Amino acid sequence: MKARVHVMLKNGVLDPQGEAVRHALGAMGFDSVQGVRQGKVIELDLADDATEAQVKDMCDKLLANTVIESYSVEMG
Amino acid sequence: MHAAVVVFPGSNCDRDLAVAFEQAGARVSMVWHKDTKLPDGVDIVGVPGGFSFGDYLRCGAIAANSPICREIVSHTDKGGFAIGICNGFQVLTETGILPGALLRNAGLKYICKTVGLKVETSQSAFTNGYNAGDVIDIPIAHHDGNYFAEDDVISQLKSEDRIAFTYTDTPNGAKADIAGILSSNRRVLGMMPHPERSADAGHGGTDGVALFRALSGALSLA
Repeated sequence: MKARVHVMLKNGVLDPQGEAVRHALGAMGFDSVQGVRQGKVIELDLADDATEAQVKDMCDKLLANTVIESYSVEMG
Repeated sequence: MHAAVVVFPGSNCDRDLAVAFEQAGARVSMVWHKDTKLPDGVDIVGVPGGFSFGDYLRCGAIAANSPICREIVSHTDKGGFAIGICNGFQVLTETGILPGALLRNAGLKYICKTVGLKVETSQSAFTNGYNAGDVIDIPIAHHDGNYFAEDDVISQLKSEDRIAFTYTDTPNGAKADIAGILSSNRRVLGMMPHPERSADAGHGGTDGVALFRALSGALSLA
């Protein structure tokens, strides 16, 4: 089984990398871009009996820092 | 004073920190990240600067889950002293020993230069060698030193006089200009600037010496 974890900076936390990407896109002429947030995707290969609750536990303990980041988990 | 300096793969300020402790009169033990016990009689744990585990995932995140960090949490829970400098500050926030987190610098650049720090409180074993309001020159060298915490946490740090140092001209976007903070029992200090790099005339500055001397004075009497 696979799980895919999306980790993003929380709303309200300044994302300077996303801002830099937004500026670059604007400079390239992509005028429609109003905001960019950059995050990460972590893919896990799991044993078949692994549960979403276990993945969330991994997120809380290591994969995300919930002071600054939010996460979502896709199983399967 | 007996100091333990933790060494992670990728630490690069561990020996500098050990020398600064020794020059202040401490006995120093180096401790490996896989160690499961701190040496007996350790008064203070130093978590040094560097790039523990290559800054993979998040700065300090993997180090914070290493075996020695469980011991550091237990040490500080029992009222033991600790100082985390630069990557060490990131590690201490990742363990939850100190509140907040360190984000990428607002200007996205790695910054390596000497900056002015205002001593915000002299009420700690780390800062009582300075006067509140003193401005000292200490080097920074970081890419992720932009201190962040929710507004209620910042308010609490202020009301409890737990902001140890602020930048006179914030280089990294840190909230409330925060360069270093204390734990609620004032026995743990985390700071991005490097006092151990301003601890010998050969470094080009000695403003960090008072921090290590103050610690040594406080812990030798303890």
